[in-house]
Amino acid sequence: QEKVVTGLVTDANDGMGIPGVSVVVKGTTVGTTTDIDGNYTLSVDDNATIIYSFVGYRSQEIVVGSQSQINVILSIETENLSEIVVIGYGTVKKEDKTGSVTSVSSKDFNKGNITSPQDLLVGKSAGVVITSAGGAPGSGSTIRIRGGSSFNASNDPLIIVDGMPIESVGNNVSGSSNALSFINPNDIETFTVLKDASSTAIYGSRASNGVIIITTKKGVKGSPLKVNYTGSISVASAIDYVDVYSGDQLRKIAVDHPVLYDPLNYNKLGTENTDWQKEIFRTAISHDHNLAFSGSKKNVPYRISLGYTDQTGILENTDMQRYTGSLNLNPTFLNDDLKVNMNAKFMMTNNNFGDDGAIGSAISMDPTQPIYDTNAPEFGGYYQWQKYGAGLGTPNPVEQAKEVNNKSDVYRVVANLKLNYTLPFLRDMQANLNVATDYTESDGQNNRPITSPSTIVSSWGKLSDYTAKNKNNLLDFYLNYKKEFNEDNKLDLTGGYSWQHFERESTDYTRSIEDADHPLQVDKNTASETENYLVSFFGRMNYALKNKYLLTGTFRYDGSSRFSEDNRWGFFPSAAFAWKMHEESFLKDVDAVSDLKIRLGWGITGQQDISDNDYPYQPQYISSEQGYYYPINGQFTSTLRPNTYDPDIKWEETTTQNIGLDFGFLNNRINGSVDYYFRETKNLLNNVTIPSGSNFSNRLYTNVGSLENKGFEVSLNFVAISTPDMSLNIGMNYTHNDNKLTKLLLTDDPNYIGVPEGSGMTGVTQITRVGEEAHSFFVNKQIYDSNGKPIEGLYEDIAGKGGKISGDNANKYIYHSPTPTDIFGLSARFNYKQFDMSTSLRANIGNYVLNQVAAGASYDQIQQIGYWKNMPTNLSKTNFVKRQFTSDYFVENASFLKMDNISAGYTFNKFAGKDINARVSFTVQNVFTITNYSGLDPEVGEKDDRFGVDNNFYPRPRTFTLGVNLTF
Amino acid sequence: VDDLDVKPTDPNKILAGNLGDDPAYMEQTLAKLYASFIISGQKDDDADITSSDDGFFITMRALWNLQTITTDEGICAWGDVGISDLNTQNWSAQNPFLTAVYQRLSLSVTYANDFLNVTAGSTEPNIIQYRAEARYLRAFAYYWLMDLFANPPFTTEEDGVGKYFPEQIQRADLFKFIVDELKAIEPDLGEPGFNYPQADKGSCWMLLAKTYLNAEVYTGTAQWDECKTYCDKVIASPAYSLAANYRQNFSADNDRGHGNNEMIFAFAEDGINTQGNGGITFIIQSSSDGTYIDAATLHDLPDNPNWNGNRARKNLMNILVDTLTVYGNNPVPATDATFAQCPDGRVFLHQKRSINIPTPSSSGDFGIGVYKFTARNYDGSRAENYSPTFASTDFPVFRLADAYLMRAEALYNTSGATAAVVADINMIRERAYGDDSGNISVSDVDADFILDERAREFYYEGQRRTDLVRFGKFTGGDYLWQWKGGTFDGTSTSSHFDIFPIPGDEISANPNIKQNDGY
Repeated sequence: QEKVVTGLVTDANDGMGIPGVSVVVKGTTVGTTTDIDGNYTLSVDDNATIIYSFVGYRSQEIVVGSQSQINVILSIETENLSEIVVIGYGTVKKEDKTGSVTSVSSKDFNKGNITSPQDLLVGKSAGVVITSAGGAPGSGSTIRIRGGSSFNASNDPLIIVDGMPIESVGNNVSGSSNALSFINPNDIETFTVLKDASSTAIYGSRASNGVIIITTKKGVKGSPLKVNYTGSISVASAIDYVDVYSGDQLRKIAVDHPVLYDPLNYNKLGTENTDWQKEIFRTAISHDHNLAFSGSKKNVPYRISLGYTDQTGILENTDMQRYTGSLNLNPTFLNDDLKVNMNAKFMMTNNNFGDDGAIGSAISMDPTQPIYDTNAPEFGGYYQWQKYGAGLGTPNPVEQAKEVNNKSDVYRVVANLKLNYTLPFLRDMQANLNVATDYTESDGQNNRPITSPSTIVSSWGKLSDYTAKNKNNLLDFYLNYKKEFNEDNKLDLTGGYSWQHFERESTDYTRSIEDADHPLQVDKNTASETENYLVSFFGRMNYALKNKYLLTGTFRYDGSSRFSEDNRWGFFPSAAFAWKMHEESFLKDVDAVSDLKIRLGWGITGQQDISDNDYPYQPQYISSEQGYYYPINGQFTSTLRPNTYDPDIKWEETTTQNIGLDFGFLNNRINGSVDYYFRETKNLLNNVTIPSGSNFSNRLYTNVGSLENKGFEVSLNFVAISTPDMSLNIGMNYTHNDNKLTKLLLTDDPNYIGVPEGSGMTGVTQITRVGEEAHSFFVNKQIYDSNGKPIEGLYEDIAGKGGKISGDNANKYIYHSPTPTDIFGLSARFNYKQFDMSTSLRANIGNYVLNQVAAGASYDQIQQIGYWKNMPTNLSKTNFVKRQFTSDYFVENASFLKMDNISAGYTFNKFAGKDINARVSFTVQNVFTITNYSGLDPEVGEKDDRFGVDNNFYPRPRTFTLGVNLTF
Repeated sequence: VDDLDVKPTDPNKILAGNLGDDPAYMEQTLAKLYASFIISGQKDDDADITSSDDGFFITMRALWNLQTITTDEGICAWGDVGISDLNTQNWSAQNPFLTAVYQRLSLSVTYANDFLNVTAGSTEPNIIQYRAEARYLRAFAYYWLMDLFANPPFTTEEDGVGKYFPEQIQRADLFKFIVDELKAIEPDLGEPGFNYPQADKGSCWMLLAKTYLNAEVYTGTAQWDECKTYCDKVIASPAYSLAANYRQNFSADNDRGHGNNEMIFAFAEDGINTQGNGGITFIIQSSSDGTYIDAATLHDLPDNPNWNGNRARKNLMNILVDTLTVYGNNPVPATDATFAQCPDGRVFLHQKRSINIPTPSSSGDFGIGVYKFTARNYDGSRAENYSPTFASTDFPVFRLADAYLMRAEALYNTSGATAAVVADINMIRERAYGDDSGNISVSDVDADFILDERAREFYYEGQRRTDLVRFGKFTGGDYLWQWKGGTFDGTSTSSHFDIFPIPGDEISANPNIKQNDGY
């Protein structure tokens, strides 16, 4: 019997009505949504069941019966097993996933002044390590999932945004510091991280390092217009500076060491006490505004968002302005048989990179000198050593930071159109088409005025201009067949084809500035263009037996234009099995156990990311720039160099085994998962030393070597408090990863020292050797005096051959590595009525850092080539006369505990008496770091191809953010 | 699926199969064979080999280090890895300088092999000449591999490119290959001086003479007559004559294009077109300090100047400056900082903070400064294609003076001190003194005199180690210099240091290569 039911849907947390809740009669398309106050009206039958659902809340089903008013309280979902998880080319119910997949949704994201999407995810997922490059505005990050499966090839995960695989994080367009910055973090709905091969293998040759799938927010069908504004203002400042000597202290050191310094140079000492670091850093104020409109217009759900970010860096002359726009339309046609999803994102960024070289200069620059020098108009009025005969002298850090014009403009459009069509003659079959394009253009310059001291590349000042264009076009087509034969047998089949084309173009122009006194010196103009294609066939089968035993098999057959015909195609299969133990009769009635599932997975994935060369199997000759000419027949001519090539180069291949357990107790108030994995990569794409005479360089990029990663991950979530007024959610994760190289050379020389890492100046201090972790520190063993002070230049004679010990590789040993052995993440969210609070903490254990800032300090360097130089004050502890770069004394345990952010907020309902929800929040980022590391920040990441070497990077500032969020 | 057959679209990249498309490609490919010795690569940060520093490990610079700072001619103050081992004759197979020289010379061989394959069978006269030049440069690279490392890997155009293990050749066999090659290509090379700085018949004769000069070191059997034969050819050629003034050989206008017919073979450098920190720019800047020798005022190189690393040890000063004659056997007075009282016009030395170097790693302010090379023109004017950063001075490899002194040494070793020996030596000394006041007589000549005269004439030109080895004075205790072997007065060193070790990288990468004795 048909009747009218009314009711109010409220939020368990605050008792307020929830607008836009979907109220649908089960098994039909009959339904409505709640109005702005959470009320609904619906005509239903007595025996109908109504489903109340809303994103982020646990759905409820209620049988109508005799009721005519049904009020429903929805609570925020803790861990909903029927939640849909996005996987490659499809979705799966969380309870039916067989692979190691975690997703993090917007409510769990990190808070604060966050301009880069990946920063939302830092510390939130076991096995995912995200290290920011530093504190520069808009700077990028490295993302490592389970430690990375490659050595020289890229270790960046594949990132897929709304179905579009984008150029990897490492392939940044010049002028852009961050490949993900085109997405406004406020537009992101979820991150899904696919970690094991059984879930990633469907992406075949690009899947070895994991896959991150980002979905953006969409409009909700039938919901009224909702406007959301978020805005924030932030204040950032440096947490600490490197301790260096003052001018007075330096003058005293100079007088105390007359033997070390040429007397002719004493008159070059100045009378000032300049604190150069204070001069180049500042307190920076940033702001951020986002406006989003979502709703549904005539059955066309839409979401439009606009964002503006103005971020100021703490280093003088660094900032970023970003404008973003996104549009999402997802209408359905033909009685919902044809679902259309259209996404377009637009971004424009103005970067001002400044010159972070000033950070190192500020530590080295002589504090006895003034900032300005009235005698030096030719240097723009700045004090410069070059004026006083020392061309190699430290550049004036203030001039270096302020007078550079290092800016770029980046434009990017990512758009795609997805069609999903249910075949009318075969209702279980859906056809999917996805066409997408990703276009980036950048234009930048890095100029210095004629008054800047010269550098090697630029004679008098520098003018440079560069441009880059990246195009990436995609076409995917796949069929999905889903059939429930009966309660016991469910089948889900997917098969398809994918085509992707990448094109990259760039130009680079550098010249010196000329005027009457300065003829043109450098005039370099280069251009490059390159492209590659990927063509693939893929398939997946999911089979569920009795809803207890789940079987998944996938394959991908990938063809890459980077390899010769003989090696072009790679086959990447995977298989997984899961057993839902809680569905078994012996657990089904145990209320305490709401979820218990064992997962087994195996798969092979590939890697074809070959740095800087899309044609590695073809012999090529490269022409040279001016300056690199040679005279032939009396004419200076460009030279043609044959480049190394390997006709047999092919895929890198990673085999992963994974065993996992998902569990949930007490109605999932406590839930989590444990995974153990073992991953082996063969045919590593490796840049190895080759026999002299066999190819066109001393190293060849080829398939050689193998490495292993094994690890263990735990994630745990629990709802500690859950009452209508108060809730406390805690998420924890733990990761342990061991990485080991098992082969590195074409030959098997047991005495092979490994691939040394270091520079001519600082020596070999790291090594990658068979049987050891990549980039292990390789140093001399320091000998200490009875007071525990390192004795300069005295090291253990490990080789036992006598002679020179210091710096000699034969006398070095492997001493820890930059990679942490254990990583912990903790996040907590607390709500009390309208008040909320959240925080994220992270700890890395067992990561070591070579403190090169400290290792570079010695008395003899204070004056050597006609100028004076400052040193970190730790020199007073070592009292080293000469630098001891290879001492293990400078390799420090950099384990740390960091509170990344803490945030508090208060929500006003019916703000100003209107239908406006308002939330104000206050966030602190980089709250504290607990570490024994003596340098500025133990988290040094990767810089200039070195890992774990602290060599002055842009410091991460402490930031205070005041935010407001309005919804109406 | 056909999309997967891609070809490079970049105009700066040419596929091997397209090298025939434009005749200019042949000149450009040949240019690379020359450039591989003196510049780092194709552009900034695109060096031919992977190493920790592009500039440091350019062939001629690293080679200069192996030949100079291992001897009394030089000592480097820098702390960079491997330098202190070279300063004191205590290197190991891991030394980055010898590794770079070995890898780069082998690479020059591989480039030449490739060029010979690409041009195989051509009957074009210019290509035939280019092929002879390629074989010359390959022989030149092999000569240095033989001199420094004795037993390098051996490949020719018969060997392919890919992943394989080349075989090792023994020093005496390589000697035979080099002289046979040079004799075979002689007819195809250009006439002396035809197109400096490309290799010509004169370059070929000089390399033959140099190879034979050291034949005893390389093969155990001296071949002085053969050495003399090729010196005769050079001296007889009308293309060559001594520069009127010694310094003309070391100035920005030291090339044949500026009329210096003493130059036989050199690697070109140019402030605009052929730049780099790998040749004369390095020698000038590493020897300048801003206080005693200022690159800006002395050499017109104000940018990136005064690296303050290299200077000579006092033993070289003792060879160059005849203190008995000049100062009456008194200590050199501090007031004569540049030894201006010395009549020999080849002395471009400068006293620094002290003549002695207190420790091997003392700053470059100690010792004997050398400013023989300059980026100015001989007359002091600004160089053509001037750059404030890079010198345009060519790196002299073979100049006529060497033909005279090699011939004198060959004659001395076959028939003792004769008038002919004295005549050749006096050719050089008259130019040095400007008149015959420095001439010597038969009674002055002995082996030590010839060795010292070579130091006076060729110091800082990258010849010293080879000369000292030939005279048996590089290692051992016969001749000690300050900090040789790591002590202030110098100490005897083991004779296995006469040959450098095969780099550890190579031993690991190629199982066919055996390490040299003693390492």
